[in-house]
Amino acid sequence: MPIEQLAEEQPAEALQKPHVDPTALEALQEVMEDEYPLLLDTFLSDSQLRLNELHRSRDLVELGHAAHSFKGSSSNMGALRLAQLCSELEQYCRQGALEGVDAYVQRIDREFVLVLQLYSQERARFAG
Amino acid sequence: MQPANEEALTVLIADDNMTDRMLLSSIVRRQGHAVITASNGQEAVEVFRQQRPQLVLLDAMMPVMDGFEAARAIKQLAGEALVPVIFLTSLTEEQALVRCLDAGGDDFLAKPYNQVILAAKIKAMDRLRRLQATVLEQRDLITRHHDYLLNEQRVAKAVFDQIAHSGCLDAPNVRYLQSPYALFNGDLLLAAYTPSGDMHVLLGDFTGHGLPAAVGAMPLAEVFYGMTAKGYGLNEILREMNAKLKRILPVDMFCCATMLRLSFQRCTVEVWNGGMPDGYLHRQDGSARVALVSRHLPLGVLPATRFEDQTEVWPLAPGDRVLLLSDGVIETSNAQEQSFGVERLERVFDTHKDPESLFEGILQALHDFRGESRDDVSMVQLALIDAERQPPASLIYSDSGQSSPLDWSAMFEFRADTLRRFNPLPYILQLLQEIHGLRPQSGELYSVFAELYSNALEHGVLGLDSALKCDATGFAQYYALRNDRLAALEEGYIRIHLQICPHGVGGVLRIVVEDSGKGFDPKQVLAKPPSVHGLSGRGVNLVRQLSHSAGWSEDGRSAHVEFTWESQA
Amino acid sequence: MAVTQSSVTQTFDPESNTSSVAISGRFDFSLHQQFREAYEDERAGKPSRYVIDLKNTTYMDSSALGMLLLLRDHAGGDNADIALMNISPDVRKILAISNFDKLFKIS
Repeated sequence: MPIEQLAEEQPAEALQKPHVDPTALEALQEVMEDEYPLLLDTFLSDSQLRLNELHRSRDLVELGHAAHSFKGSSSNMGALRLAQLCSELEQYCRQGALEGVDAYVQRIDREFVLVLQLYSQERARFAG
Repeated sequence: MQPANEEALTVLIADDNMTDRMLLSSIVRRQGHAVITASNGQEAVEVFRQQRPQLVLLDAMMPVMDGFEAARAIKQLAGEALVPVIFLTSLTEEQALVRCLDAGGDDFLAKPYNQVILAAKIKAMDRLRRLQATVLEQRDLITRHHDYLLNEQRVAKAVFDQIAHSGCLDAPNVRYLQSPYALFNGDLLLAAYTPSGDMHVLLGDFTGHGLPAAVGAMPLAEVFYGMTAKGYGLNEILREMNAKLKRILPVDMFCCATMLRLSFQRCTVEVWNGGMPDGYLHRQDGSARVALVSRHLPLGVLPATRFEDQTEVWPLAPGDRVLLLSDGVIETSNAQEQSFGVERLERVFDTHKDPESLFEGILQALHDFRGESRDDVSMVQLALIDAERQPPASLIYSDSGQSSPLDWSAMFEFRADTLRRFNPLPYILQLLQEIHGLRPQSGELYSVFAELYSNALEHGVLGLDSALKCDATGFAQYYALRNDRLAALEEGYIRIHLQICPHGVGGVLRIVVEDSGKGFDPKQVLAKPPSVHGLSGRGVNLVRQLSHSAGWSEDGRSAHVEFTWESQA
Repeated sequence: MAVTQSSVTQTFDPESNTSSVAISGRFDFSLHQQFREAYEDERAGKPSRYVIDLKNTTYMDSSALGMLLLLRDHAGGDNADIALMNISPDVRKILAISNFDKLFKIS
């Protein structure tokens, strides 16, 4: 796939995943009870750190690990599209394809902007 | 949801991702457990070392030290105990999953976390953990008990060895094989001299194994040694052993035994076999071997009133051998589960006509058959060695003998009813033991008494003719007749007169033994040349040899014998 | 070769007041409990005689002799009426050596 196209389009599989899975959020709320808002806060700040890691990675191994880790927490929190993108990035890294990696990171950046908005809205439902 | 009735565990959650860590902690806490956390592999190992949680959830990919290495370290710290390690992973490749298990992981949990699955896995892992703990606990308990039992056995064996070695198994005419742990197979082998120099031997086999089998052996051995030393015969000793075992052993325990009395002086062997395999009498002259068959129930089964103490008596010539074996010999089995059997044993007999080589022959055949030696075979072979009689050890007394009775007389009359079932000799000997000056001659005293009493009973009261004992058949006939006539005895007596007088610096014991029989012509008997090894004879010459002086009344119905001694300084 | 478990079965005949106990397989210490339960079972009636069927008994050792003594004790000692039946030559041999025919009827 040509680099230019990568930057614009999202991969087919990722498009099939929702940005946020509402059922997951419900389950999380049930588990965490009073601590649900705290979990959301933790996720949002933690994710920033993950993103920084992605940008800071100097080689494919580091990048792959960072993607793997971000994938984990995103999937746990129901940010499924984000998780899928991270998964694909991880695979790219494993395959050693240096090109196309940057495009993925950009895609993840953009997806996270959305995720940030959606989870902040969710967080706003709770006072304090 | 709070699980009911489940032990709350302490769970270690190690994940470098704060979100995941927080989420998982909440999930696990909700399930009723306590949670401790770590954010990398090294921290996880350290936390584990300090707090020893029961279960560990490890993220596979962590900085500083990854999950796999942490898992290995934790498993090592856990040692024998099972600390389940569940890997948290979004790895999907088979290889990666295999890596988890290789590293010592017991299971894995995929992200995103599924609460239901997690709860189920925790439960399952905890079950395994508790199972392992139980196994270890039981193993330790068993080991402790085992050591305890071993110690008990050691003590029992030490006590028994003290008792068992007061005998004469190391006499020159005895060859035996016994495992050091025979005691715990229920095997018993005892041998002791009587005061007259005869030898009692017992080969026994208690039912059961271990301490229960060993426990019966001790009272039995005490009876055997005690009564043999006092001069009791087979009948009395067997009756006492049977009664004792009947009383002390539970109903389903008993002791198969062969007991025999080897008389060097009379050249006979008297045998009682209750429940043991056949013993064998092998003759030097190559004539047919005699099987000593079990005719009685084992010891400890019948009450005293029904116990049968009849023995068989066989003549022996020098060079003849008596062989007794435990059933371990016949039942020795080889790799094909065949038993050695009586046929193989008899073949060994046939190929080893020389009694000298028989014992080794049997051992070799067993070894060849089995391929290794067995440790529960007991065997004993006795020979009638024409050696000097071993005098039994004289008893050591502590006082100077000043209080001995030195001037007295007594007369005993034993009538038919008593003669039938009572042996007065041990009592009379016991009485005479009070005279310390006589003690060094206890052996001779007993032999003389035994001889005079048996003559008085058999030839006098029962009217048996010793000429009957000229050959093996006649021998058997003689003893059968003896038993019959004794059982039917209605009239008759034996009188024993004892007189002790001081004499010079010591004293003299005068014995008269008188019977109600027809008598014999002493001059005739004394005129015959001494036949030391004959099957017949009144042992007249023996009596003369052993005492200070001996004589018979003209009618032969009473014998008088004298023993003298000088007092000990 | 299939390994068969030894077993004890018991029946009671009220007409003759006889309890019949059959042993199959090896008659050794492993049957201790079962044998005892069999002869102690008096739910159908109290036996005045016992018949032990050894037709399928492949092997008998000294602990089996002990168990027979326990039965005899239970059944009245000297007054017990116990018969051992269908004895194989191997079993006959062990009974002969121990002279148990003096305590039990053997056929």
